[in-house]
Amino acid sequence: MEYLAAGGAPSIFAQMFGSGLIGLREGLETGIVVMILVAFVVKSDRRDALKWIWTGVAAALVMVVGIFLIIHLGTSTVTTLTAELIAGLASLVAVAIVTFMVLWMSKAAVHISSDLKSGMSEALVAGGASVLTLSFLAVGREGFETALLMVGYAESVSGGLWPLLGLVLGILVAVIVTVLLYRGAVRLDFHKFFLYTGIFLIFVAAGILSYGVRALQTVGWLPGSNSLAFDISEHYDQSSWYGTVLAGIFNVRPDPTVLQVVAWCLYVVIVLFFFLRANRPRRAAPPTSGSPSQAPAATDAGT
Amino acid sequence: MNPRITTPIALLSLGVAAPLLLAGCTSKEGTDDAIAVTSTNDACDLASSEAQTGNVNFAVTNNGSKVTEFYVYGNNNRVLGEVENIGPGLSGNLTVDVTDPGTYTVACKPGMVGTGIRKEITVTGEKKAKEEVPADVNAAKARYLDYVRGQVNGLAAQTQIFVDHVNAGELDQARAMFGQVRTFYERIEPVAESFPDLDPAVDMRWDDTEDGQQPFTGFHRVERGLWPPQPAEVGEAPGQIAPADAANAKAQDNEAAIKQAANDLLANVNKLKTEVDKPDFTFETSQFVQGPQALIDEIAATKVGGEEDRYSHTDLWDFAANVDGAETLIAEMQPMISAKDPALMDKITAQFADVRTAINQYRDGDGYVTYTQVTEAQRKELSNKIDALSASLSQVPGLVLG
Repeated sequence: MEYLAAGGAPSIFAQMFGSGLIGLREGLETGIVVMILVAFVVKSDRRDALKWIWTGVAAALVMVVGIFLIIHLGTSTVTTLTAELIAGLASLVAVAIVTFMVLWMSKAAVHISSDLKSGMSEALVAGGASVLTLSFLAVGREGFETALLMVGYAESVSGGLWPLLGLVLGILVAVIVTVLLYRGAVRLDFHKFFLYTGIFLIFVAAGILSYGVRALQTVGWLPGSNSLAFDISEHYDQSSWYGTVLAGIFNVRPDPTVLQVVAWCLYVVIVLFFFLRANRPRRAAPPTSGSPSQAPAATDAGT
Repeated sequence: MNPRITTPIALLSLGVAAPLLLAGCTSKEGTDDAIAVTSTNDACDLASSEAQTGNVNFAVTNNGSKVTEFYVYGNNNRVLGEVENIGPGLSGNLTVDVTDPGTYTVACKPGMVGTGIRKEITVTGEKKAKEEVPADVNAAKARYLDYVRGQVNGLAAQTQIFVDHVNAGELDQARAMFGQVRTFYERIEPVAESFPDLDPAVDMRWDDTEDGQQPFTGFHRVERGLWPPQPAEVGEAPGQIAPADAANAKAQDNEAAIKQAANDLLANVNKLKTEVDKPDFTFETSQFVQGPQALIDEIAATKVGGEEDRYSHTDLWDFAANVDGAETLIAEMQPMISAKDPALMDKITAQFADVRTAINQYRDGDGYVTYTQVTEAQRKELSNKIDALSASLSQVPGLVLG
């Protein structure tokens, strides 16, 4: 993959492609969780909850743009390590909320009946704050990093617009991928939808968790940033299209630390176990005790 | 999706994020002195491998075809700074606060993986303390700066009137306002002391002249001219006038010399005003947080014996002004002290009231009685109260910056 033009500077194609991949990765990281949230409320016939999601998204976008303007026009900037730390902590919070959501979905999938919608209504009305927070965090999780990234582009514009154009194209591709995934998801029947998006979401969340762990290791809040579990970067090109897509959706990287792998495995095993247990074939499902007026529990781990 | 659980989580995370963000703010450094780094697919070229302690800037340009990252590592591969997502043809800037001299590893990571292409840089210079000033301290500093400017402007205006009196030969009016003019200066002494040339020129004592080898200037020179030393006041004890000082006064303090000293004083005060009025005037955070104790210690260590105004005995004006200045500083820092140690704040407030009461008993009309009327025992009592306050104030810097 050599696209070097004469004269040392990368060729236009290389400039656009490189930035395009950044845009694609950041776009997917941001968009996937929001997409699932939207699919989830649409699928449950709760379009009125969309306003919470879009409010969260809008708030995060305003925050990112605000930070961008403050840094770009002002005399201060955020240290990259601080941005990393904030992204790490926000990721952990996002994972916590996603986990409750997934486990709640698993209950919902069990009770496919008329009382689901009323239960769902209560959950969403009461949980407006959590839906809003989750969409805010999904978009704003890397808000500071994204703002710093944008500042980098804004300050490099003098060197040519190709990288910026590439970035925008990359984001567009991410949007298209997200929309296609959404279309595919909402076509599924109700039960399958919950099952598949639930499993998908668990892997997405595990990736976000592992990302958060890595970020906190980088800034020194967690130990072990130097002990890699394995490193297959020889055979796995992180900066290829597939590496970018996998990094964007599942936060895959070819050189995770031991702690990242441990956190990822523990999360997937534990949450998937509870999720699938609740999703056992319905013959074997325990008698339901959910009455319409009862707010759903966050988790049935205690049953 | 249980709001009872998720809402607190969300609020907590926002609460954590805000202070972190403030702590992570850093000023954008000029990149004139930045080390240029060129990252390609298989190289990491540094324009220089030498740097000075303090803020080290890097300007990283990606001339490769892959997205790159740039890291700076300290001991044990600890990340000191990083800049990610530099697309081909783009550049990124990184500022790292390097406190200790030594050898540091930097790395370009084309393709964003692995250990990257590593290079070493040597950092020389003095060890620097990590400067992390909490944002609320900076906000308090900014408010205090307004106070400082107000006082210095008052000082300039009052000094003008005072010097006009001296020049017009209206010495009684000049004597009457001497203590009041100094008040403005004494209130902001910690900031004034950050001018190593102006402060001595304005506020030096005879003791700073090496027995007359250096020129004697400023307030106290004019004071000596207005209150010529009397034989009864001459002696070696604190608060008395040294024999050499008295002899020097006899020889040098003629009318022309005093007018000259007064005009020089005015010029220096105006210079001080120009300096602090500059928009970019700033003073060390350490001076700010240690200011209250510095002001109070001034009284106990070097003024309570009557050394400051040994010719005019207007010392009580200075004490009151030092207490004013310290109280203003503490008022600016009060939210931070109260948040961390409310008991200490209450104690400081009570001790200030104590000291203030002790000084107020010597009030006389708009001013204060002459310091010669305060007995040794009363001075001791004042000094004890001041020492108690000083002990409490000594805890402030660590608390506010900690």
